[in-house]
Amino acid sequence: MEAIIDAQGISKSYGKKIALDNVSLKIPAGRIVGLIGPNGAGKTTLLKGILGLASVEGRLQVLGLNPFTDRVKLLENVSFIADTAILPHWIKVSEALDYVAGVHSKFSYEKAMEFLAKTNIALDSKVKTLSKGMVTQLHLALIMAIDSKLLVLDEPTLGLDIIYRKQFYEALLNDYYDSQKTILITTHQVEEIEGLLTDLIFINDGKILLEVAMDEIPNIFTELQVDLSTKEAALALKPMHVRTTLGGFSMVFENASVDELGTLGKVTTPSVADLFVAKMQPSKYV
Amino acid sequence: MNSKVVVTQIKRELWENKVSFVNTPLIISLLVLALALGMTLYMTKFSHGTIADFHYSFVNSADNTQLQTPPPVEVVDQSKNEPKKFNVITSVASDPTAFNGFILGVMYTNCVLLFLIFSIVLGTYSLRCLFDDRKNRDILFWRSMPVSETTNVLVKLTMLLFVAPIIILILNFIVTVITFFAGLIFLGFSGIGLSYLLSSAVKGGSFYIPFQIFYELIFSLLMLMPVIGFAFFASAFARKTPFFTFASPLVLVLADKIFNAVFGINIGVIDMFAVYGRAINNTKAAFILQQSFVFHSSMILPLVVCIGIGALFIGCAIWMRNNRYEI
Repeated sequence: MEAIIDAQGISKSYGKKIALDNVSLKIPAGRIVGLIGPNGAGKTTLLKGILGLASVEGRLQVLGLNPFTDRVKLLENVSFIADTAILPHWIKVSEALDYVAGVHSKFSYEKAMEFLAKTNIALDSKVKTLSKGMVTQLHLALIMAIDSKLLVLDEPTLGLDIIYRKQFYEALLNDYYDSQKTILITTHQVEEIEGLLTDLIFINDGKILLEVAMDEIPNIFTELQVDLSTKEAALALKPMHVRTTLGGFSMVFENASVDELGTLGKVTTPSVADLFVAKMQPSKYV
Repeated sequence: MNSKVVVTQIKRELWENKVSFVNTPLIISLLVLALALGMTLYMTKFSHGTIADFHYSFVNSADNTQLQTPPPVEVVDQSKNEPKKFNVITSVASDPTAFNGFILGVMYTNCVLLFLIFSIVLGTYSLRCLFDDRKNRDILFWRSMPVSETTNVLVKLTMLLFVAPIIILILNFIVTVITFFAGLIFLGFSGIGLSYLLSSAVKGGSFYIPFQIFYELIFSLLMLMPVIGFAFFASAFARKTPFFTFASPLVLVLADKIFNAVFGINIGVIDMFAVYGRAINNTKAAFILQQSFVFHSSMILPLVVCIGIGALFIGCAIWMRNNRYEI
């Protein structure tokens, strides 16, 4: 299957600061990919490269186009929220709808109204009178009403209450996503999107640390809960990460024998959050 | 360029600048109209003056480029204690240009006020139109739409070169038409023939002059393209205050003066501005909205050069919008 995003050795520097360091990745159609990384890891730079908002070195193609030189053509099939609450403060809700309808051939006014109907946003309100959460709701309604092939969401639910966050992810799955669409999400609230993702990418210091399909995670990574009596034996198997828990220790292993680990304690699949911490803060035992 | 996108972009500019481009000019025109209608009513009933006070004779001749000054106010003999309405009617009836002069007087009052407002509006607009969205990060939303920076910048230029003059034209024309009909009603009821009034307005050019002003305004703005283009460039270039970038040529002028005074070296900046000043001076009839402005073939070269320099700055502004990474 042709990749929606195909990056080969892309790099980006700002002076001496390296934001992206020889990054390569391929994202096929129909996937929901979580791009996870700490602040300053290079997530936003990578997204801006993908969206044509910044030039990068190396080969980067999105939907077969160079995003920097073919940005306008690309945006006919790519929609994004690059940051939260950045709608112009002077615009009315009705004007925002009219504007997107006027410039985007794949925007559905009716669909946007359906999304807005689930909120308390009035059409004659100006953005500057809306709360931060409502601005985000409006932005999401505008973007999700575009029938694009790639949707890029950078911290889409920042500032939203938990009820609307749940509603949003439900709508994303039920009303937006289909096998032809690809969604790339960055967020710090990894627990919320864990059940949503088909693929996971960890990035840090401008490098891809992990690129894996979610259904592959149980085959590769194992979390082991041990007590003091089996701790040393478990450490001998070189866990990627060790942390202290109430009454014991939790260790994350990569490509370890589940049978062998099972003899030492309780074996589970690590959550994305635990895996993220394990990858970001590797232990000295590796 | 997709016409639907262009129209939407123009709507966006009007939404964003509704107060400057629509509300304020509309209020000014309404005030001028209210004042004119009030004055018409006052003059036809109670005034000590006559409609002839508004005499504004139009002579469309290259030889006569000066506005006609109003004739001396007719002194009304108070001792006779005649109804003043009679004097007004007499004046209009005896001078075929008087009615036209009144309409043009009202229209020009409106026009001058609109020019004052729009010179401020367009000056600030050109300096901030490519800066504000970067400053408040709205650009992230605009950039998420399939609209090129070329379209974006050219639409903003269109707002300045065509939309603002069209707004002035429409308001001037509306003021002219309403003043005309108000005059018809007031004076018609006073016994002056409608055909006489219509003839006065049509022959005097009341309905033509707003279009002549529109044409002169477009010409003036095209001659100002180097300034407009540089303002757009400053707006796209500035990181903090576009005005300082816009005013930066003054530093070059100062440097030119210093080099000239101290080293006797002429770096040509002042000369360049002087040439531009002469070009503007040669076409000043358009700038001061003389109805008699006529385009001469000698104006083609300066006009083309001005448009060319402006286009160069606009091109630089588009390039910066596309290539500068700062959002």
